[in-house]
Amino acid sequence: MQISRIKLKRLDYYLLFGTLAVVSLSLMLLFSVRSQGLGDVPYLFNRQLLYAVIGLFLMAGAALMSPRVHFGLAYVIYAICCAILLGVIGWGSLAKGAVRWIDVGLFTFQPSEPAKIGLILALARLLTDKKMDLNQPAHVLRAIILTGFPLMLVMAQPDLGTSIIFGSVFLFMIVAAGIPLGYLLILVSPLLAALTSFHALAFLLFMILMVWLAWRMKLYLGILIFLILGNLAISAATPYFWGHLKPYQQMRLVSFMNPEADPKGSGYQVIQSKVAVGSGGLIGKGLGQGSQTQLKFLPEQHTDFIFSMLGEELGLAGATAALLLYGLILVRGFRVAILAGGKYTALVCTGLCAMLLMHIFINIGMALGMMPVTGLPLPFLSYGGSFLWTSMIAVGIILGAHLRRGDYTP
Amino acid sequence: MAEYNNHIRFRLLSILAVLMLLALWVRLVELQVVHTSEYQKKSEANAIRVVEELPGRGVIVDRRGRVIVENRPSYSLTVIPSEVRKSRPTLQELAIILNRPEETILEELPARSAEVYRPYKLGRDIDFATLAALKARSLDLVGVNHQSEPKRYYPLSVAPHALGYIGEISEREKKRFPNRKTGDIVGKQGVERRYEDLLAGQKGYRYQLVNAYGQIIDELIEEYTPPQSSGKLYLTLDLELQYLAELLLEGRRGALVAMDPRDGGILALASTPKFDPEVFAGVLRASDWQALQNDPGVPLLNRATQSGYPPASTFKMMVLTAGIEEGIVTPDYRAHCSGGYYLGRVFHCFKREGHGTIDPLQSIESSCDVFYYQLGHRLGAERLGKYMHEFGFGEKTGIDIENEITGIAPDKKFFDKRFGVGKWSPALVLNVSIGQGEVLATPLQLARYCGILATSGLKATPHLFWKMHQKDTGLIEYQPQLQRINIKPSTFAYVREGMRRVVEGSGGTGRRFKDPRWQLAGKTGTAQNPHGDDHSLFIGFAPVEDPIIAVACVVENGGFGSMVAAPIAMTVIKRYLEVELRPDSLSQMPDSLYQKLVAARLAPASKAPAVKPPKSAAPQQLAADKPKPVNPEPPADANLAD
Repeated sequence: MQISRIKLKRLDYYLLFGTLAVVSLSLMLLFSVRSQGLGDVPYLFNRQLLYAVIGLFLMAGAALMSPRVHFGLAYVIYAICCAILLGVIGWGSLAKGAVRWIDVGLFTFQPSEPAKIGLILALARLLTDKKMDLNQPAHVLRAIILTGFPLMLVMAQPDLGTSIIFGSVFLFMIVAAGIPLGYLLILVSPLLAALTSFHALAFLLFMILMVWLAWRMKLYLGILIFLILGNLAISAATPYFWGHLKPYQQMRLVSFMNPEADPKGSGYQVIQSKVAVGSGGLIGKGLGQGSQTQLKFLPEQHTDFIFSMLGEELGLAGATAALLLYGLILVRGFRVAILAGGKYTALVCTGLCAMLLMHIFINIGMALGMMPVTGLPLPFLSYGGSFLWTSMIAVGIILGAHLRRGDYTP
Repeated sequence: MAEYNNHIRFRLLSILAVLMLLALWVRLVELQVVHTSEYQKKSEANAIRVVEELPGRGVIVDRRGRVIVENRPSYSLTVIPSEVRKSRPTLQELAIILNRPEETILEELPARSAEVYRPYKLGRDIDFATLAALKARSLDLVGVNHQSEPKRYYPLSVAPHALGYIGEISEREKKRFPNRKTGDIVGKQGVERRYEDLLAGQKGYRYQLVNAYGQIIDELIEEYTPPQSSGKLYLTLDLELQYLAELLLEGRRGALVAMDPRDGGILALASTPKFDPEVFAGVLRASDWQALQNDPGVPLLNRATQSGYPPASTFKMMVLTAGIEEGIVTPDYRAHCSGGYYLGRVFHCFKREGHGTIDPLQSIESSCDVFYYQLGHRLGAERLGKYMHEFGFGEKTGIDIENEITGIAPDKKFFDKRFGVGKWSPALVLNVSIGQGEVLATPLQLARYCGILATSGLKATPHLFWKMHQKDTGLIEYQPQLQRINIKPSTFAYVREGMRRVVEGSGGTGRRFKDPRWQLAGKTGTAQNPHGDDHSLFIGFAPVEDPIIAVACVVENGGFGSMVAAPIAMTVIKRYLEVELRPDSLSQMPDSLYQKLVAARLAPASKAPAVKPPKSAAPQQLAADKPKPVNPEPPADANLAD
């Protein structure tokens, strides 16, 4: 550790400010939650304050750690995370029909959270490897396997939201690492094939577009045929796998398409969330005055649906402020990726920003009725320790990269 | 490690991130700016629960202010399902109080999450013993409470057909009462339905702030609007007369209508067999409804307005009026009755040996049929039809209760339509002339017809409503709807003289009812009934000089008019005259009698002697108070014995 050599003027104050501002906003919102039969103690606020203080230490620790350290430990961290994920499947406590939590006495712990960072570090290290040539399909396959293993494990929990995060982080990072766009098409097209398989016309349009793009890129004929046949097979198999989804996942996806269909079931949350946000108006109903959230019409209002609470109580003004702060964090994060000297650091920053971005986009999109209900928390805002720490460690790593920009980093 | 430079891709990813946040912001603006008012409404509806408080329904009283229908509190036992499920002692206590097994209680309780936190009506209209037990143990019972809701109460159980009944609104009725909703109680028949808007009162509303589980967080006190109970609705009915009429008709199928011919106010409107309105007062049990529907006596039918009967000889005054007005009959007019009249076949007089040569007044007094065969034949269907309509036959009277029928007034058009023009025999008119054949009239039509005769042509629309005082609208009073029909008063005077002779004359069919106190007038009728015994009819009015009451009475299968319908109608008329015209008898009568009637009805059945006990003090006490109308037997007094 070379603490003495770090120059404080290299601290990214904007990124730090943005992070602390959102954490404060979270504490403010949680303080306004009416006590829930727990006396006058603002239970949620106290807990979250404790989590935030621990988080600050974790963030500072991550920032002071040289990228060399986690570069060296990347595969080890990855392996530990995967081992814990494996363990969760056999040994864990039940929550909402999904095994995601480990009870460590004082609090429950969600191992898929550190696994996100573990994957990002390992993937960045793999992609930085000198022997790695993304022009060769076999090399791309190695990256796919590295991502696919933990992805399958969280899928098995089952945790659809985290799987999507793993997938998105992978895509962002290989794009940043310079993968040929043709390969990207091959990687992304199966997903689109699965989505469009429910609608004949949409599928036809997608196939035509894909073949045209592939032809424009002058792909080998063999790859083209592989693309077409592969996507046909995927679209044929999707309905089968759909049948293997847990009923609550199906319901969430279906109710996302038409929330009014089952207002008492999973569509209920989305409708109530929209009502909460919509009724907030320009300046909101005031802290602690949100009838939707405070009167429990909105379930999980302090965890997954905290943005609805923000929208209801502080209105467009408060919600816009939160979006601007997120924008600040992400833009600064990508800026660090560009300024960072080494490819590894740049890719790590990209992966961490992608993780935060996808959480923000999916969670807020869900609260606004644009996305299915996946149970992904909102960075820095949602109540709960696991993801707050993950997000703060992520920011810490980015801050650390910025502190050492210009230095010789991997 | 080499310097890594792929800035374009990083910048593009950065821009993608900003665009994604921008997309969220656009959606945010859509919800919070464009559609905000819509979501605000939904949000308010979510959190505020409106609790209705029922007003007292209007009390219905008779013309003297005596209560016919009032309200008494009825209690429902409510439980919070989630609480009862949690507390086993509560469930055990409930099972004991309600005297039913615990399992059935658990089964009945709703299980849906939206309902388990809301009061559920476990028992409706519980009795006082249950209520007392509930209150005594209220501290041990978690989530158990009671709600009071007003229920109709009928102290004397009279006039069910005129009053109608109440019940939960049906889908069809929502069109008629657009500002009511499912679960509301509305009038279903009679006065209750017709004056629903006056009787209903204004609901009160409590606004409670509730959470998603339906638990009450707070109440918006300043928004509370208390219920406004309705006032007293005065009917023109005379409770005592109504009670008397129903008593006299008891055990028979028939109807009696008494009205004030001067303004159309209905004094009594009885139809038997009747139903117990109490059955409809609370929750209508399916078995009770089935029993009422399947009763061969059709108790739900209002025979006074919904049954048509051949008016028989009571029709003759109308035919005579037509004869005089058309210039056929003069006081010098004579007809010879030899016991029959030939038109294609022989039409018999009820008196086979014949009445001999008679004048028009004698034709009424002795009710000669041949006289009217002749007269009807000469008048013809067209002219006869014109007078039928003048007297209100074949059309609704316009009384203020619904589902009245028109009856049938067979004029020329009617016969032409039924048999074809020129294809029917004038012999049909002969039957109509004596009130038989195609003609059908309701007892209400007959009472009004009698009233027109009594008042020399004042055709009043019959009505039950008299007045009501309400806070916001002030006094609402019925304005009599009167119409004078185009017939000479001298004609009426002549016809009335015939009716007077029915009672006062030595050969009158109603001479038994002669009363030294007043001059009475009337006409008996005996309607031939192809399905069974003859129907017994009577119409009458009094006093002859200045009539204040007109009555029509029909008793199905009663036999001769003079034997059944006439005594009933005459008893009602005389009782009314006693009360109205002899104030000296008033002091001891109406109210004290009313008290006794109520007391008699409220007393347990075992204490009310059905058969006169030989030596009991109570009935003698009653007899000393001259309780003539209470006697259910048709009057066995001097007048009848004549």
